[in-house]
Amino acid sequence: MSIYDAIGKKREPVYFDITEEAVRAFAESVFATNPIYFDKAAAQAKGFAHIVAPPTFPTSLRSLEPEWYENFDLLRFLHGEQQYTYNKRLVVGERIYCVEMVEAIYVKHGRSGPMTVSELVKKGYNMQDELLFTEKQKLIYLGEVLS
Amino acid sequence: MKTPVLAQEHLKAYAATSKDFNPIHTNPAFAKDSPFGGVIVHGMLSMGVLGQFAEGLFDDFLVAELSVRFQKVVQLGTVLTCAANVIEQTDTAICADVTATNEQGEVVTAGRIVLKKY
Repeated sequence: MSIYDAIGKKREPVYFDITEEAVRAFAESVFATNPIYFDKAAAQAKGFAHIVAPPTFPTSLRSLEPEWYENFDLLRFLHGEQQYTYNKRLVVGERIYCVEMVEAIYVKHGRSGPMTVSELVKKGYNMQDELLFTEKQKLIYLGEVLS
Repeated sequence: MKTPVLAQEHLKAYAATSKDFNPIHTNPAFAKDSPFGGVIVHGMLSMGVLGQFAEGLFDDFLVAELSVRFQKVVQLGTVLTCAANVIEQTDTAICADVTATNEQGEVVTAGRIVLKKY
């Protein structure tokens, strides 16, 4: 399958439970100490129902199929840009679903040669179908992938 | 805010929590053939550090938007230093530029945040 076949096609929703264990471990792994990521009472004092997930936590909610990445040599794959926009922050105890899509793939010619840029978007919704967050990422492959 | 010296154990921990198991971050034997000559730090680890750093800057203000560019590869053994520069501030929102810088003073990850009052 060509990497380009995926452009513009929404993937099936993938469901995730936001667990206290995953949020705490993620927060620790980015050296966070803010109690809103660890302590329910501290998060509730700020008006949240439960512990708040750190802003980049949705990166751990992976759904794009690994086969798509198999078209790329991982040694030449770089992360270019990343963006999060929140309508509502994620809190522990929620069940959400994510829908992922490849928005664009294009080849750019830079000083160090051709690069293949992939723009991916992931949207997270709660069970009431409210949009909670949008994640956008730009991945750069050092080289030209034409198919 | 400064990170500890980023060591293989930190990258292994971040790989597990973020589920990014690209061996360029965790497997020195695999990574030695890369254009960077060895293991590199997850760009998203630097963004994760910036995100939680930004969230601790102002009482009652949390991240509503966060976008970054990964400008330079981060080598193993680096200490990242986070900084923020407020551009605009109202009673309900703060917009700031954020950077993560290595010990050589090079900005490795740069971006912008919008914090909103909760």
